Formats: sequence, structure tokens, C-alpha cells
Amino acid sequence: MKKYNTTLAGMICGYSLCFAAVSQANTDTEQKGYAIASVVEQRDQGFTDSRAMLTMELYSKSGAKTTRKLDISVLENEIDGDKSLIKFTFPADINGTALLTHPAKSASDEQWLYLPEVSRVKRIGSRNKAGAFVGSEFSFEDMTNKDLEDYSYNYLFSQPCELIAASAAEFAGKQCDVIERFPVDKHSGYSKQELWIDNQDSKIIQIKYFDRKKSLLKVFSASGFKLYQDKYWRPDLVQMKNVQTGKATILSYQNIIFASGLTEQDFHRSALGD
Amino acid sequence: MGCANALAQPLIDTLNIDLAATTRYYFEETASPQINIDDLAYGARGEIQAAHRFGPIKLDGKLFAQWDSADDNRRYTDIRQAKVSGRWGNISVAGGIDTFFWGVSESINLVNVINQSDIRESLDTKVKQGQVFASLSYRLDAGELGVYFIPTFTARDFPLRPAYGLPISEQNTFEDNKEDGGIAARGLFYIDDVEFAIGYFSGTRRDPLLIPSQQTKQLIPYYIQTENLLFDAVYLTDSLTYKWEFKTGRELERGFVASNIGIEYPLYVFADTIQDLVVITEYVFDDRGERAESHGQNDLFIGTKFEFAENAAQIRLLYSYDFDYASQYAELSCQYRLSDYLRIKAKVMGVLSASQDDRRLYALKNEEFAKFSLHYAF
Repeated sequence: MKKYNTTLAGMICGYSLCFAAVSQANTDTEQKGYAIASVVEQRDQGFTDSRAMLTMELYSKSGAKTTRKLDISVLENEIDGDKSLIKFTFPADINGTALLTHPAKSASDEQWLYLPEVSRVKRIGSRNKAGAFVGSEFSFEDMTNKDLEDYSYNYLFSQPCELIAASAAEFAGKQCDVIERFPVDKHSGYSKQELWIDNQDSKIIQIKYFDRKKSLLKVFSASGFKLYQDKYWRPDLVQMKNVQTGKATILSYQNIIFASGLTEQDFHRSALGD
Repeated sequence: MGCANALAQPLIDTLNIDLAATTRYYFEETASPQINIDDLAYGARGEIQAAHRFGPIKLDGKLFAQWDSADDNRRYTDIRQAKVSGRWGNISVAGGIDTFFWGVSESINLVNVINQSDIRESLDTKVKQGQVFASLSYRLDAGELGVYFIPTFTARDFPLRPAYGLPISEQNTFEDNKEDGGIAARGLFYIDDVEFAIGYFSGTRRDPLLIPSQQTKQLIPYYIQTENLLFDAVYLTDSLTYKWEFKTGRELERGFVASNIGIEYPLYVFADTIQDLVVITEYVFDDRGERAESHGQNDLFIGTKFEFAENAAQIRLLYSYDFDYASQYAELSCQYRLSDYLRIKAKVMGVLSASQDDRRLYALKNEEFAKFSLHYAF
């Protein structure tokens, strides 16, 4: 029941922060796939909180561009999952529109949308996993905190990372583990995802999303990785390309800050209008 | 946030300006013979919003202005927000002018009682004028408690059109000559898929009774005292959202109850082309009858809203049916984003049928209009 918060936020706080200790993997490839995903999961623990400014560019098939700007704040919570707050700052007419997510491990996420035009905080449901987030190629599901137990895993193979054209220069000479993961949630918009993970620093540099008909739908790629606080690798640029429609969304991150002193109060429902 | 923000960055955290050219057309001449304005009007509206934070203290301001070529009453400014707020731990203190929203419903918000409605800007009472207030709030882990002191009362300003059968007097009258903003309190709580609030309000009711005067051939706004106990709740399930607003209290020495209960159903059947498609059904009951604060006293509201063209286009449609008088009302609102800075808005409202007994809607029968605006926001 989790909905959009953290592929965008995940780029600044980590892909997955709800570490589950019990593996249900059975075969060797399943166990290896799970183990690789666990390393990615653990890599980002302990970041406390993070903030980032983000520019989202939406490209139509013809290349027409629409721009959104947003601020994303994340508060680490190892028990229930990270709380996140996304605030739009551009275009001007939606400045202040905000989405607050309180994940819950054993129940539905709590989500609120703030509409500044009418000063309204609206509690919203979180069923629309496959729907597009603000018209982008990112679905609500893509922006959800990833829990290890939200998927089953399978290790496929290892390949040079430079086989991914967008990462050829940045990852020259590095080896990628390629795993696939299968969503447990029946409402997922995907049948499976194929992840390319740099096996030195556990950076996810590509994800191929397959739709429910098992056809390739979208390709996610991340580049321009920088190291923050000597521990956390984050990309400057993220692209989601829809190979079926030709549309794309590009995210560029600015001013990523860790451990800035955010507290629970900054993620309170009543803080949405602040 | 555009050039305005870049220029103002050292002094102001955020600054947004929305300018619009507007036009409004009434399909028929008004049945109110004393009101004589052009059926077609053009105008302009502007809104400027700014905010700045100094540590725990935040300043917010929002000014609204409108000018209309035909309707003198649509030439006005309103301070929607001029607020100082501060938060220290769980305690928040605020004062100044602000607009508040209480409630969960989509058609009529019975529990949204603090602000006066700006019906010159929007007849559906969803747009609110600024209200002077002071508040003290305490945040709970999953909720908030707040008390509000509202020292001033702002009477409703009516446009010349839509008219209500007779011109509306500029002379307001008040029950017991009381003209007080009132006091209010609200406790909001949420747990898992349930969110609910209990509220209290006592003061001058924002919606006046319109009393016909044989002497002046006008409608005299009469503001009564009201004391309300308020409740609103939302419950989310996997496929439906249940909503309820309930109000009970005393007015004119009589008790009353009013309720808006409904469901919201999201649809994903056309997900490839239509986004955020939602259907709502709400039933509004108000035993105050003609003294109710809206035309919903035994009415069913059915509506939908959706977006398409990568969320560039937004459509809202609302229809109501009155079980007492068989009156029907409909409104259609559209918005289309032309660019990151430009967007167009349009709205059409119509009374499809109304019997003479349904005074609120019958009065609006010849007052149906369409309005259009081109907005530039930066």
C-alpha cells in the first residue's frame, strides 16, 4: 500500500531503508540475488536525514519540455520506513503543493496532499501504484520506499557496467551484478525489474521495468555519482525513459544535504502548510 | 519560482505572482429589474504571495485584487493572508489574517466555518476571504489540538450578479446586534486509515439569511448567532474513501443538524490517457431548510474530476439533485496548462431546473454564466 515517495527521495536517502532480516530465498540464484539487494539496502543506513532540491524535466515524444521543481526532505526511520516530504516550488501556480508520506510496515502508508490555493490538507489513498506521478514517467510505485520483502529476487549474471551506454565512461572497468526482482504486491504495475548494480560501491545504475504483459516498459538510468559524508553515493542525474511511448523524465539533483537536523516535527501533518 | 523569486531572494524566501485577464458572460438577462449590468464583462485579477522565515518565526502574506468592467461590486482587494506564526517544539502560536480549511468533503464543507466566503470570486463558497485571528496549537504524535480567537467579523460582499431576485442591501443586520468573529477549537486525530476531527465554533454565522424588504425592495442580509459542534472524518479502504462532515448546534433558539456523507472512488480504467480519475457521491442533509448555509438540504451531489494530457488538463464536473424540490444544478470547471507560466481556466454553471419553492436555486435560474481566464504565474 505504499505510494510515491522515494525513488526521488531514494536518490538522496537510499533506495531502501526498511531492512528485513529474514530471507525467503531458496535457490542459489535467489539467495545471491537477495544478498546483493541486502547490501544495497544496508549501504545507506544511518544517514539520519537528507534534503535536496530537484529539477524534473518531462519530455514528450516530440521533445517538448515541461519543468517542475521540488524540494525533497527525508527523515530516516528504520522501524516503519523513512518519512518523506515533497514540496513543489515551480511552476509558480503550484508552489507550496506538498506531499507527506508516513510509511507503515504493517499497514497502509499515511499520505497527505497539501493544496495551498485553498489551504487544504487532504488525506489520500495509496492504491494507485501504477499511476504517473505529476505526469512524469515515474509512477507512484517508483517513488516508494523499497522494502526487501516487497520483492523476490534472482541473480542473473555479472557484466561490465560500461555495457550501459549512459554509464560507459563513468563506470569503465567496473563490473555490475545484474539481478531481477519480482513485486509481491498484486497492485504493482510491473511483472519484474532488472537491476544493474555496480558491485564495488553498490550503486544502482540501471533498472529495466517490465509491464504486466512482461514487455519492456521503461529504463531508469543514474549517472554523475558523488560521494557524500564519505559514505553515501548519490547520482546528480536520473533518467526514466519510456521505451513504449518515447517519453522521458530527467531528474537533476542540487544541494543534497545530509544530517541537516530535521526532526519529526518537520514531517508532522500540521507542518504541511509551513 | 521565476524571476520574481530570484530578485527577491535576499529579502523574501518565496514570492509568487499570478496575473489574469478574465471574462464572464451571463446567458440571460437578469430577472431582477433593478440590476442593470452588461451580460458580458471583462476584467483582471491578481494575486501576490510572499513568505519569509526567521528561525522559528514565519511571515506569510497573500493579497488578492480583482477588477470587473461591468460589476462595481467585483472591484475589490482582500488580504487573504498576513500572518505571523512561530513554533517551539509541539506548541505553535499564530496571529494576523489567514484562510483556514476544515473538512473532508468535495461538494459542500459544512464544518469549514471560520472564514467568510468570497462569492464574488467563486459562487460555490470554496474561496475564502482573509480572517483576523489568533491561535494556539499543540501537536500530538498523530494529530493536533488548536484554539482560535476570532476578534472581528467580516460581512459577506455580494456581486451584483448572480442576483438573488432582488438587489442585496448594503445595510447588514445582526441578531441581537452582535457582530463578533467568535471562538473556535478543533482537535484532529489520525490512526492508520482513519482521520477525524472534532470542532467547536461560536459566533456570528458567516452565511446570512436574506430577508426580503417590502419597503426597500431589497434583500436584507441578516446575520444570526450560531453555536456549532463539528465533526468530520475520512476512512480509507483499498478501493473507496468514505467521508463524513456533521454539524449540530443552535441557531435562533432552535437546534439543528446538518450532514454531508459520501464516498470517493478512484478509477484506473483509462489510466493510459486519463490520470487521477475520481468519482464522488455525497448526500447533504440540513434540517434548517431555507436557513441552511447552502442549497444542499436534502440533496445528492455527484461529481467527477480527472486530468489528461500528462496532467496539463484538469476537468471537474459537479451535479446536484434536490429530493424535496427536484431542482438540479450543474457546474463544469476546466483548466489547461499552456506552458510552465501560462494556463487557461473556464467554468460554466447552470440551474437545470428549480421550483419556486427552492428559493436558493430558483433565484439563480436566470443567472447562469460562463467565465474564462488566462493566467500568467511567475
